[in-house]
Amino acid sequence: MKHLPIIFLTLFTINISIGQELASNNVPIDILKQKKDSVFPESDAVILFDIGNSKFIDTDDGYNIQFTRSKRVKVYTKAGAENAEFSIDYYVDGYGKTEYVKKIEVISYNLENGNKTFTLLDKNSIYDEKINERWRAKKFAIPNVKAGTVYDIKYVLETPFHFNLPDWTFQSFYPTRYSEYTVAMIPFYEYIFDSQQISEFDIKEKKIDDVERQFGNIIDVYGVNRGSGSIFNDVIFKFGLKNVPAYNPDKYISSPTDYIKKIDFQLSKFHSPYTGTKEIITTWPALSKDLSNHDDFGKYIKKAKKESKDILAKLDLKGKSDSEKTKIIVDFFKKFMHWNKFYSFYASEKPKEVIDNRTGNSAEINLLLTALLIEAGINAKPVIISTRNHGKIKSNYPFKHYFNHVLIFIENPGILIDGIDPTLRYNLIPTNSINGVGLIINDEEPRWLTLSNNIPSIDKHIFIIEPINANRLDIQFVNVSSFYVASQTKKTFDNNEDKIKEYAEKNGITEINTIRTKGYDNPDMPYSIIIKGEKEASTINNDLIIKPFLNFPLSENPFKEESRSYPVDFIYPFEQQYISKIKVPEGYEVKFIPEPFELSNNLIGIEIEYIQLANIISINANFNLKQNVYSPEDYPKLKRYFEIMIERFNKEVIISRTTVSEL
Amino acid sequence: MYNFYNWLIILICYPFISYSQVTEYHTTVEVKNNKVETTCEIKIKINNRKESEKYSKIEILHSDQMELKIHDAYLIEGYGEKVRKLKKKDFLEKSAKFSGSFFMDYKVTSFDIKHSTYPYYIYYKYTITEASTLNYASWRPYLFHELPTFNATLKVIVPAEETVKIYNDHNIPVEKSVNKGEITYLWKVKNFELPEKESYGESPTELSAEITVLPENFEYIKHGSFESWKSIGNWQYNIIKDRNDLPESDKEIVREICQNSNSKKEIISKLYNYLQKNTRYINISIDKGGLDPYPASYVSKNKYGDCKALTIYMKSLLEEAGIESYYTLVNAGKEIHPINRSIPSLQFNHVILTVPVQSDTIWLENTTNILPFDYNGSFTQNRYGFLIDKDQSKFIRIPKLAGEDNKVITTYNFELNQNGEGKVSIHKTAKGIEFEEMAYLNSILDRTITDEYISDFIHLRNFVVNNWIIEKNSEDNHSLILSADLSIKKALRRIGPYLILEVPHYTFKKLDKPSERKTKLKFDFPTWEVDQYTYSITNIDLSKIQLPENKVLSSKFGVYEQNFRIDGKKLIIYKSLNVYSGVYDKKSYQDFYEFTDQIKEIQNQSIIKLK
Repeated sequence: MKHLPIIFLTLFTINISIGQELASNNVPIDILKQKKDSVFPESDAVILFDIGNSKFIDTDDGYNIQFTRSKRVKVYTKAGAENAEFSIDYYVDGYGKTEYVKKIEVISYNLENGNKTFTLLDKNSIYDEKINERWRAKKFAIPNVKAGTVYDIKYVLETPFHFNLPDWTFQSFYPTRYSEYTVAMIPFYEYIFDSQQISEFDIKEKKIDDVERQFGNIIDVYGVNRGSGSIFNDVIFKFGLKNVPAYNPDKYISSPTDYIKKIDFQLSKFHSPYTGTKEIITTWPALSKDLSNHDDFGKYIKKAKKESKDILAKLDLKGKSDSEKTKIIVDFFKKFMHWNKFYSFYASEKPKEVIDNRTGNSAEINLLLTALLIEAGINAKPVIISTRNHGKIKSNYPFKHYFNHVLIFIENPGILIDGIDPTLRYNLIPTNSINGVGLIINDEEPRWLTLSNNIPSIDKHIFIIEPINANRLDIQFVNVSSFYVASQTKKTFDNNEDKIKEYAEKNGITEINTIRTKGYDNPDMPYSIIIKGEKEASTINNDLIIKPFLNFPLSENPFKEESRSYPVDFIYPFEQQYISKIKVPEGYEVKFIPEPFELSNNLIGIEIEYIQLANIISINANFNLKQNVYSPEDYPKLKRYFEIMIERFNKEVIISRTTVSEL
Repeated sequence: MYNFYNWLIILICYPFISYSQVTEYHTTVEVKNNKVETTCEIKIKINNRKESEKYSKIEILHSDQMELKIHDAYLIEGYGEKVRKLKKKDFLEKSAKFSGSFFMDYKVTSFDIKHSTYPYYIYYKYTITEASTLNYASWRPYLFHELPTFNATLKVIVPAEETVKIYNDHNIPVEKSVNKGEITYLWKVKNFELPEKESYGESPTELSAEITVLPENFEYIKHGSFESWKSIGNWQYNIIKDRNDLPESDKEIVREICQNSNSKKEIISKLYNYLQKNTRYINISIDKGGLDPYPASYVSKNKYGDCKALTIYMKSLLEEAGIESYYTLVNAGKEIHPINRSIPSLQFNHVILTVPVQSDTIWLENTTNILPFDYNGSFTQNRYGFLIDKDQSKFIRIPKLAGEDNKVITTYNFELNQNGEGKVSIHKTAKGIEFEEMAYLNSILDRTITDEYISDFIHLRNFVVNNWIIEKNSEDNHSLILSADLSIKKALRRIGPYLILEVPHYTFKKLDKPSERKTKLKFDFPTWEVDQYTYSITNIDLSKIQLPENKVLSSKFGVYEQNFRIDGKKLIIYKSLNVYSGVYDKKSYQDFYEFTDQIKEIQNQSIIKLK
């Protein structure tokens, strides 16, 4: 549609904002002289302000979004100068459309002999990095930065992709004194925003801009528009936070993005002046319908019909029940395909490509697997979820960015399938997928499903210990694990002899003679590691000190804090079993056996018993985590239970020499 | 060093187990029309899914000055049929990232060939063309460190009129032929497997066979020659000699410092401090930037640079002060990689500055803001640097860290009850490597970051750090002092009727049995730990305790000492382990093995029974 070229006036003719005042080029000498920040005195650097703004600008091809950012950083120490680097990501879609970084201005200010000096970033010192096929970055290091420097970064990014209004993160690696984001909306696009970890904004404003804008053909006849276009004003939203602490992602290993303070936008409605309002996605049914009809989701499953038939022809499914068929198909496909470690709920390569290459992202694998199951007559439905390291689904609004993965749900008998992990049996989903709820996508009313797992996994350790002489023990060891523990063990060691050897040596079998494993390729079986070896015995005088389970049980409590404000999530319930048989040789007698112990409640089961029969001491111990999640109120108890287990399972048995004869 | 026959025997004796291998690895280097074309043809056998996760993704590194052409890449099924050929869109390109580097104009082109039945083969062939190069071939008969290579060849084709230098110190047999004004060299190696690195051993890559082919004369930044170390030195000298374009503002600063100093050493120290305070290390390498230093004006303006630029800048500052200093190439890192003097070539990865002061020499490490002046640390100690000077570039020895320079002395004062609970106060004076690590931690103001790492310096268990501080040592600026107060549990162990006290053991890396040892013993730097543990335990009658034997165990590798005594109501345990730096041949390994065994044994027996 044609529209007259518009001369664009600046939006900010309204009152001078805090942001404006700060963003002027005036760096006061006081700030240069400052030796430490008043609000964050122990920081190596502090972001004095970080101001972003997005607005829609007219171009020949329609509206583009122009994103401007101004950031000022004060560096207090040499360590703070180490991070005076910056990177601006921009997207290239591969079909000719691209984001542009239009302007970069960087100035650093210093105090030399009491005078303010400044250094500009040389254009030649801005480098272009290719992150992957779609993403690039403009990278630069800020010149002349040392303890005391203040530097300014300002840039403009223009994007034609207005489905993704730029998001804003209020937090950074360094603390921020003031962070502000302003969005000027045009009436044609309506966005809904979602904020995370922000209980209350310090600044939250909405106002109508003074400046009149035009869209389309305006024919002004005595103050009335006779043309087909319209006159409008931007609606301006502003969000601000003051004194935001630094964000340290290491503290939140399980879901690093879950806790950073930020704000995301999603397009909800499109108001066309000619065709009226079109809702993009404002309800869960709308989201479900959108995905069902999407080329890279619902339609993708349908497109894979031919490939599904070809694959099913390879399998022997005649006369098998539905659940048998499901198992055969899932087991086969998991081994057939490789996951490229990217999570997505949209497919990107064609089914034939994905299958020929034996590689796909998580959506390609699971949507194709859904197609296979449907083709075999199984009632399979896709379920979109958010993985643990992606964060939780937080609100009732259907934001697509909450989700990053898709699973498969089979109504009868009610199982969940994830094709990306071949170390797990067909009806177990990986632990990273066990996170809150998922949305079953189908043509009827979408349904929510709780993702959880209550099958306990077992980790069993068996020892046979026999002293061979005064200071040497012969050790036979077997570790048998099931379900999630087995999967984890397989992933930790890769079934690699050297890695297993290193682990066993570290835990007490200092000399390994033989190692073998069983069940690595079969997720339906437990996984066993069988080791024969020796170790030096600890002695005190003529007494042999033997730990029945060597150093395999936990020896240090992972819970160090006194209290906790968020739950402890083990993801799946598990039970550790230890069985040890110590042979008391000729000429030796049992000098000391620890007391047995038992504790059982709804949270935990801890048990250890010692039985002496003839010349064998049998020690059996169990540590049973009965819940997957423990509330913060139960944390102190949990901490104590771990303490008890560590103490009890590491207690030694003493065997002393009665005669001086050789063994 | 292996000679040809030893090497052949070792190769033949390596059994061929069925696991992934590179079945074909053929490299052809063709020099013509002032271009160098390197073509690699590779076939890899993948035996199972686990191996495909590791080896099926191929990555080819190339700089923006190189042209990469992938001729072919396809999947071959187990019985030999070519099943899937890759298309252009299957090759993905992204910028290469090197750790420690901000930006380099290198890209990585990658592709992944996966399959569902095993074994299968990956085949690919590509050519990299570059117009200007310093190196025709630096070839080893393996593609990946961990995979055996069945059939590896190197073919080098050069115009007959060009002189090349060929180094082949493992004496791999060569086939040479001449045809139409071109000389072709061909080397073949079959069944090569790189041995694993042994504890305290030499680097297997250094011991492996290698063929180096260099142009005797070249044009790279400036005209140069690999004819001798002297000619290499002159080439480098010609590159750096005009890089001093220090602006007037910097000259003014130098003059001021000179006016306010009383000695040459003082000037050097002040200028070095100026460098440390005002500049930082950022490694940006574009085009030939890898070998072509930015001039002094670049660092003056940006106040950052890589090791070459910062060294040129420092050299320029000193020159302005009338002090002579020398750009010195070195192979830096904690692990020492000796320069092979019989092969005049660029075996360096770092630059420092050598400054003669009267009869002494000061070495300046220009990339650090936190290590002190005149500190020669683990990064560059105990090796030869190549000093660049007009017509007289030469190797100079950078002194090694002596035991005293890497000594860490720690005292622990325990106040415990009978349950092994209580407090510990720690005082650690560190020099050398631990000093370098503490200096880094000490430069960060933010405690939420540094709190996490302090435990790494405390070799106890079951403790919580209540407070800590790192302070300068007023007597020695090459040392730092850590003081910490801890709360501790389980510092005593109850075993049956006994109450046991055991202090932390000194441990060694896992050692193979002497019969299995293949390489020399190599200790790149000495270690010297001295620990004193003082215990005050309530309700324990120390007079009834039997103390373990005092011992001093001395060998050519080092000394272990332990000493136990009671002083009033305190139990004092003194332990120390000093391992010297040095290189010992394989015959000495048995002695070292026994030495470590004895130390382990003595410590195992030195448990104190309190009750």
